Amino acid sequence: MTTGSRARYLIFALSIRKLTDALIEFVEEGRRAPNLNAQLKEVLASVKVTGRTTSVKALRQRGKSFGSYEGVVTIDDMRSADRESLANKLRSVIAAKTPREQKKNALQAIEFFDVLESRALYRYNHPAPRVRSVTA
Amino acid sequence: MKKLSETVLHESAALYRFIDCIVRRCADIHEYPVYTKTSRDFLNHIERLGDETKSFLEQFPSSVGRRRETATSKRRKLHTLRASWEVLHEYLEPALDADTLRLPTPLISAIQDEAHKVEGLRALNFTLFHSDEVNYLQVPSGIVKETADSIAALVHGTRFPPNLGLIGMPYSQSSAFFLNCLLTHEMAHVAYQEFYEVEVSVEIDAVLQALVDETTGMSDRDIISARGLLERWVEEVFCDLFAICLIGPAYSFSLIELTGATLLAGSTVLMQDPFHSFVEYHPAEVARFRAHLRLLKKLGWWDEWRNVRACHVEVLEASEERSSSLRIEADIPRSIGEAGFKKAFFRLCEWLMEYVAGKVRASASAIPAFLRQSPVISEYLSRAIVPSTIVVRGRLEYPTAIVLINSFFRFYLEGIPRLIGNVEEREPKPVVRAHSEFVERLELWALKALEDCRLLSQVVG
Repeated sequence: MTTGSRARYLIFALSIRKLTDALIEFVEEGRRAPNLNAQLKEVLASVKVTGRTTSVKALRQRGKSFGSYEGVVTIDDMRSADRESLANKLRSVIAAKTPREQKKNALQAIEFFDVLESRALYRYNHPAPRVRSVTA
Repeated sequence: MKKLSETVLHESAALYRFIDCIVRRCADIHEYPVYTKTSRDFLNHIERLGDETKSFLEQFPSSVGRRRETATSKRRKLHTLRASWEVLHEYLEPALDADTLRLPTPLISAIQDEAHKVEGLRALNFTLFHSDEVNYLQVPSGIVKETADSIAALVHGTRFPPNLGLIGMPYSQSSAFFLNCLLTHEMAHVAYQEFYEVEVSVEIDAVLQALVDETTGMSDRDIISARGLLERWVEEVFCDLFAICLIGPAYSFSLIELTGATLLAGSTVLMQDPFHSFVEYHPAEVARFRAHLRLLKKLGWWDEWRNVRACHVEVLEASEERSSSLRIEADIPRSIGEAGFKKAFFRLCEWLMEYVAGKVRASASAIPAFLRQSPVISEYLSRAIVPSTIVVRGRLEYPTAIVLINSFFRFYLEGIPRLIGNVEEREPKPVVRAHSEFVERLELWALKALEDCRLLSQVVG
């Protein structure tokens, strides 16, 4: 693994952290970030189909972070039952009828995101050789 | 057991201390050593982002106690922030080492000036840092820029300066000229990631989907792996072609020097020879040289260079024939297969040739001046005269940067013995040492000529 590839796990961890921050803000202050739903839908799309047969276009639609190799590997590391559970929580945060129910599911989604973030950081923290260079 | 608030205070203070040391390093810049403006921009940004992170940390402990269920997640954020700052930390000292006295500034300015002439690249800038590797590298914008921007998003700070790329060069090669032509390739990486990647990705996706359609279906991991390989190889070829379109064949020859590919001249093909191998992060050198040769022919450079007697020229010439021995030594999905994957790569190379040549026309437009001035420059160099201003058929002419770069490279490849013969000393030195010393002089003259060229272009126009 090169530093470039390794650092992409950190970038993935940071993407998750930004989502977590947005969810925390929603839980604590009731403020929903403008693009929160769109981002949660990207995660949902990835969580639902990770590991399955797909097309190049569908992969691009998962977005830069969740459609990356590092994103797919990290999500694929989760047990499929956990992935299913996370998908349900995210669906609820997006569509549940009452704010209370949305916040309750958001709190549980935060726990899943913490797991994803720490897994990505774990992969990042493994030692590796150097960054991209003009030759191999 | 410590109370949560005490633990959070301790964690925040520890990170604060870590970042404070980094910020102080940036703030400790005075009149000497002197840094380029882009280096200062980079260092100033790190300092500012550090101060913003420190402000965030000062408020952090009070925010953690707000709700018990979110406290652990919030504390994890400190861990991620620290890892992010470690990335920036890695490039700080190498950037501080690269002051203007330790950089080939005239060459960098010349390449940057040419890049700025390309439509859409006027704002592109580069910060150089020193690397302990004997290699040239570009830190993918996804690393420093995205990391810095993510830190900024998490601490409500300032975003990274736009269009600023980070490029590394060997710390010992600041006075080198010929090898440093490779910097053009690294600058091309910045241009690619900032401006061209999206368009090229569309073409990669189309070629890859055609490959996928020939299989019975592929998983997301397999497609991403295949796409990753193609993207990395295509980016390397893009940067090679961009460099040739920007400064001409000098770039190819500098790559041949760095990789030791002169070994390919005149030797028989060895199956295990790594020059023929595609690996995870780079296409095979032979495949790259094949693309160089085709582009040089397309642009019109090759008619002149094919007659130059140098092993570098032979390497390029032989690349077409050698490409039948190429092999892939990276993991590709079994369902695609090596032959199909190579075919897809070459199809993309052909597309890139048209694409890049359509975007960057600098070196091709310099060919007529090169043909006229290069023999004169060669004559000047053989008499140890810096050819900033030359007389061609009784008229004063001022060679452009591209003409100078390629003329110096040509002289380097075929003219050194003539120079040594003309400036012979009383006590002859061992041939290798004499050759090396004259190359060093030649490199100094090249940097001087480029500096004069820049000055003259401002004065004369």
